[in-house]
Amino acid sequence: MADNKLPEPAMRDDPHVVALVTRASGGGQDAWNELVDRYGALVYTICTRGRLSNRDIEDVGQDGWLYNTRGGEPGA
Amino acid sequence: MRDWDDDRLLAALSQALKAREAVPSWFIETGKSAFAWHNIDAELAQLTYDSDQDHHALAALRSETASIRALTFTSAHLSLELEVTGNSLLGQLLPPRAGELEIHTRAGGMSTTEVDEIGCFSVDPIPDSPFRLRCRSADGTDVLTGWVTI
Repeated sequence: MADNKLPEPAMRDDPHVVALVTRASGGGQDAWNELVDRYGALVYTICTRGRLSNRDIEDVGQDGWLYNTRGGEPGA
Repeated sequence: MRDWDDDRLLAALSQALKAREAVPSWFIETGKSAFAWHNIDAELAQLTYDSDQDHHALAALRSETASIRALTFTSAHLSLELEVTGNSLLGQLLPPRAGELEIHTRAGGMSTTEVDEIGCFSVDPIPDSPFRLRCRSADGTDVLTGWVTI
């Protein structure tokens, strides 16, 4: 696999990811854990690209995860 | 994230895949533990002031050291002013109101303390591990702070 190609389909088109989101929305902690394992590196990388301190990364990360557990509900 | 175009998102994803090994375990664990809060209908209060950060920023400009750690969490309807004094955490809700304060530790423990009619409360002792506060006031306001480490 070439380095410049993604190993997986875009997340919104990947049926496995869609299934994980559906299960997590229904209260599945195991599905949520798998989503965090899959995309934790992406979220962390976005934080580090913003040149945030470790403390700010922790704040942004925890707010971001909480926001996502609520399905992106505004104001969460 | 909403303003990111596909190229920027894919570039970040590509970098993330290469950096997967570099992600700290605490970051992943924080993400997994956030799920415990997905059914909690509380408003999230953001850390808007931390005297530690202020002190570091001003360290080059003054010689005295700050003896009291102060933090402020702010949400749309409520602010929590916190002050560390010794082994206690003193706080006040603004605008002042009575209610109940829950102290949640990352390990899963929870204790409660009363918030008096002028919005004041005390947490004693301060948890020695990361914790977050949830304030439910008598008027129905429900606010949750981010994780705090003192």
